[in-house]
Amino acid sequence: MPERKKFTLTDSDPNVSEDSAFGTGWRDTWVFQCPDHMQLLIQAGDEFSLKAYDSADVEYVAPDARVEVLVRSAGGEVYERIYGPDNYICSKEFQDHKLTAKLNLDHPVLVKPRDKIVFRTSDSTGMDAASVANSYCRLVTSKII
Amino acid sequence: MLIEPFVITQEDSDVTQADTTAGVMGDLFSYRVPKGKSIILRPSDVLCLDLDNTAAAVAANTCVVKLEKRDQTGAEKTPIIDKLQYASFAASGVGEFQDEDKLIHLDINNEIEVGEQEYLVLMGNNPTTGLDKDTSFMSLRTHSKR
Repeated sequence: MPERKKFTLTDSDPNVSEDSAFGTGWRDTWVFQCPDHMQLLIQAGDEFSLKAYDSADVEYVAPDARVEVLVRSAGGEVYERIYGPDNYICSKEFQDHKLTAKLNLDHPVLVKPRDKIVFRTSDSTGMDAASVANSYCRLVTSKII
Repeated sequence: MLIEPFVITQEDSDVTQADTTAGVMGDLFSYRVPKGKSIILRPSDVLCLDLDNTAAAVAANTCVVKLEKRDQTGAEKTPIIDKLQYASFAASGVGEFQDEDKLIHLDINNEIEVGEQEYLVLMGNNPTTGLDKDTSFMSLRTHSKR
């Protein structure tokens, strides 16, 4: 019988790649590719947080800053949205559990080996390598062992 | 059919934005459901707002807000949130988007489906100055079906 264990995914995970090229609008800022030995089970109530800075080193501001999280198949041809696309302000909290964004899922989402979790951000100023390095995100979920 | 979380914001490409006129209930953000998709509204869904007026100040606490569903012609209207003061969404004019204890849930008893090409419209009536589409923003946390 498989067991579930708490798993905290951050942008510094070794299986996360980041898009450090300059660009405005929607971008796949961080992409986690699930390794071969792992499966994640994303459920309603899992917590998501993201802090983002633009290329002027200014924190994302409303109204044009938005965030979304997708689960994509390895080839990218199939996707399911697990968060957003919501205003940035909704997911910027990392500490207070009453304020952190919770996933509003209708059903659990299984992330299989080689599947990807894609953290997408959008604003009009854009991000570059330095601002991506200053930005960070976290998804508190479960892995199946 | 896949039901997944979906948030309608003012920046969605299917949203039409318009400033409103002072003292008149007008459409601020109008979302038209694209083809091949529908929106599933539930009583647990949340609407968050931050409204500014066209004089670069926050909207009045007494600004009246409505959210309604409209059919494809715009003629048949169903209230989803009916005439709620902006003060319900904001403290000192700053909209609440995070605190679970303060978020506003939809004023419906059952699930409502908004079909393709139908509308969800956020309306506002700010007493002395119209609402500014460029500095106001919203999040309607709901689900979509595709």
